[in-house]
Amino acid sequence: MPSTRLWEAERALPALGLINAGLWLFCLTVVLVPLGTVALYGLASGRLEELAEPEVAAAAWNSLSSAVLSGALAVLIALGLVLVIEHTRLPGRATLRILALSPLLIPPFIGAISWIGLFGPSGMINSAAEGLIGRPLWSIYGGDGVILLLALHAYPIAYLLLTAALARIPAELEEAARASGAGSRRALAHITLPLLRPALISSFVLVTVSNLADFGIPALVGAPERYETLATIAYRFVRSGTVDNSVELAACVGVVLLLMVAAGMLLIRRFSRASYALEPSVSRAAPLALKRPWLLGGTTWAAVLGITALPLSALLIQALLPAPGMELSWENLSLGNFSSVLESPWAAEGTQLSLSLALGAALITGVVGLAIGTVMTRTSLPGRSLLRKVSLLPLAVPGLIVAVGWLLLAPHLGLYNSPWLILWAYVMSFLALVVQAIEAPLRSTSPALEEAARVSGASALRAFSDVSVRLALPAAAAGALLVLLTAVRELTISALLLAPNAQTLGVAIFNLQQAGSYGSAAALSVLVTVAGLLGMGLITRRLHTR
Amino acid sequence: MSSVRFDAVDVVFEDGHRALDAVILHIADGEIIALVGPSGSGKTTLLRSLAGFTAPSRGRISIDEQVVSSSEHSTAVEHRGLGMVFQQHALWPHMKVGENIGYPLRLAGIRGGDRRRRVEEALEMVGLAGMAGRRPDQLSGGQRQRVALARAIIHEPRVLLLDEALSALDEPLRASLRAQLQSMSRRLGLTVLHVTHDRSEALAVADRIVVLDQGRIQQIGCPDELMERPATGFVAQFLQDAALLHGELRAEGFRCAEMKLQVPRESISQPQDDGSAADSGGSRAGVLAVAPHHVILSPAEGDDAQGAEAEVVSSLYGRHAHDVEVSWAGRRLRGETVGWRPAPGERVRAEVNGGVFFSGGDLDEQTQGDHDQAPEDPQGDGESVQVPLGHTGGSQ
Repeated sequence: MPSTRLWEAERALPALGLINAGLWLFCLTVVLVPLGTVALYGLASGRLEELAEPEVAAAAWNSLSSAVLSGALAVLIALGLVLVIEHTRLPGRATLRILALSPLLIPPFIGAISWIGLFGPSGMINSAAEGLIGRPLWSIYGGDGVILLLALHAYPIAYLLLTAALARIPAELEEAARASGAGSRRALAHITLPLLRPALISSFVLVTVSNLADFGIPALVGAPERYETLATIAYRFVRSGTVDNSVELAACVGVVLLLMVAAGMLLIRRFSRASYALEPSVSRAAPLALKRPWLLGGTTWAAVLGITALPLSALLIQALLPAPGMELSWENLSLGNFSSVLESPWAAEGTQLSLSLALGAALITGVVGLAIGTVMTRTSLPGRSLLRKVSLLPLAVPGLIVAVGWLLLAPHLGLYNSPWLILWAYVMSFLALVVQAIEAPLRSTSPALEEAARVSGASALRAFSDVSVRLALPAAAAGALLVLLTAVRELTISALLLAPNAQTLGVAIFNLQQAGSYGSAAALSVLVTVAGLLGMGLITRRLHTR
Repeated sequence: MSSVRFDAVDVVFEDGHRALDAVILHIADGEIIALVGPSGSGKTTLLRSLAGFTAPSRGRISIDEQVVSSSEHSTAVEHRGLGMVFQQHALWPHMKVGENIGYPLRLAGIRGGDRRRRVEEALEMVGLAGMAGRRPDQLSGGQRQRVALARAIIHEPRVLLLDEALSALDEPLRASLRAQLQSMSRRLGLTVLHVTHDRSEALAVADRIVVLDQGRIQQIGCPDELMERPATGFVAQFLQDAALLHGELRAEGFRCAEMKLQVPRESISQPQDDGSAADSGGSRAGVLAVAPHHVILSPAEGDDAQGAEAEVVSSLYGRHAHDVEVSWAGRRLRGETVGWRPAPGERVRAEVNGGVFFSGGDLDEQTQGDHDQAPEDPQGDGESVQVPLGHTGGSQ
């Protein structure tokens, strides 16, 4: 109830007004200005017609088709897994769920490197197939590989959305169908699936939009077959000197992407409004009875292990083999790749740069996100809901556009080729992670908590800091840690903004892979992944033990 | 339109909790049975095991002499021919009212005009004629529950299962739907199993009532039987808010030593009355269940404080009789007064003029303890808290 908010009567409180003004200034400069710059340069440069060239048109088509197909595939995979794992009494469901969600924790370009280890020209499965049937089984390079990898990377998001939607369907709805004479399959088809439809559509659109501008997967898997998307073509424009004023052209590409993203967001809004009003459930959802649990269980285990553990073990083996395609035997395994990576000066530099950038971004987004999150949920300051929208906007903006925006701003700021540019781009991209992390726990606590502090004698500002800010602190810390982990492995922004001689971890892995040093790329990927998993474990432990 | 049998049914959950314990129940064709009991007594489990959502660990459940659940075999829910109404209506939000009601017919392969006609008939029967085109979220709570009822009866189920079907509704609506439910079940000759936590609803609607506690059937009987001859102290306590007093039954009557209480023999009934033990002159230890209408309260006249050893703890207004709780020799008793309403704190004269005697000390202390904690005397407490608050409020 906003009318009972604590700050209603104290809008004039100067300290809070100052904070509000500061937050607005921050969001304007860090979020809106770069976005506006992309739009302005893209539209005002008058070079939009240059995009009509066949290669750009083909790239746009590739972006759109790969995003749509991978979105549909991801939702299908997620739906199948959700029904089996969350809607039955399959043995080992908890472990299956964790495994099925694990791609969330692995950056897409590392996933791509793992799959190349399986289905690349000299990948393990293709080598084995060559020995057995005399030809490679399937090459991952090309459009089909891009679509498959995008889907395999994105399905966990759809899984989470569908699980939440399934949990909201009261068990009685299926039970009523059963009592009306429907078998469990018909109850699923007539009741549960139609009720999941809004969630299916909105997760499809969300996955499609986020896959539109992915850079790592098409760059690593599509490029060898000359399969270009808008993201890779924009990267090529920026990196190559052949096009004059290449960044402007990249901005034009960015505008096209932005329009696609905006259309997708409008679709999501439309479909999230169309969802059904469901009563809160009285009883827990009734799982489907399985006639042959071991059959379905075995298939599911095999499928989930195949799309999660298999590529990761391929990555590990690739890291342990001195050269790709060598026979897998105990004598051949060595830690040579790891030691050469750890001893190399560029790896140390990359780690140092990535860590300091990520720490900086975590610190800034943590503090600013905490302020935005608390102001927007616990006060009635004017414009707070708009502030929230602005701060969450970059969630939908692809890293490519963020990077192009800062590239365009760089000459005006005098920050060309400087790590500071990357830092601000990271802050723009990841601020929303912290705001989101804070929002959920704060919204679920009652405003009566602050009112109780006021009644106990605390001043308005004191109640705000003692109650609201304190309540939000753990969530802000967890959000900042998430930013740290995400930023350390970031690829798209760093790849576009880095000075030619500098490296971040993501760019180092990317360059190694492109240069054909598969063993070193895999070794560094393994190290980054393991460190990331440990960090994630730390966050969840922290959140659970509270 | 079928008979139902539970033969020594046990339901033990995965965590070891025994939800039903050796339940034996025979329901005749066309009978309306109400299941009552405190929460956790197993009444919903009993209903869900007849529906087939819960499997018995031992025993058999049959409908029309045909076994539907046993430890070896279980007929799927959809093949049992049931109708079911849930507490939260459970209408499918993606279907119109008519589609909701017609769904059982759709599954049975009845289509076209035939289905439409029967949906209209069912809607008419629950008083919602012409509403087939509405969406469930355009209906009020009572209308939704009536749609759910129409959906449950449209395919002429063998047994109609009601799982707290009226509990989510507000009072006046609930009473009218209760009456409608009863007359409709009678007209259609439905066999009904009605789970409710509302004792007066059970007494009002049912032919026979099953009282459950801790997974065991305490008593099965028609309303009169249950009220006049409760089989156990628990039943008396649960259905009538009776207080349970420990004491001795002798030839001249019941004596409770700690309360200096004497109840004449002729006004005491005994459920297991074989007439032998008490009349042989011996005395038996046991428990007297004293319902509120057996507790007679009268004003203490003048300064005759001698007999007025009960103190009023709370006094609630009632339409037919006021509900007065007194503290008497350390025990809480509920009584009724007509014509005058004592104030909390007042001392009144109390006597007990009847009750039901259960011999043996086998009544577990636990249910006794439950009752001792039960009185919440909202009014008494409210008074004592409100006074100081009012004072501080005024002084500020």
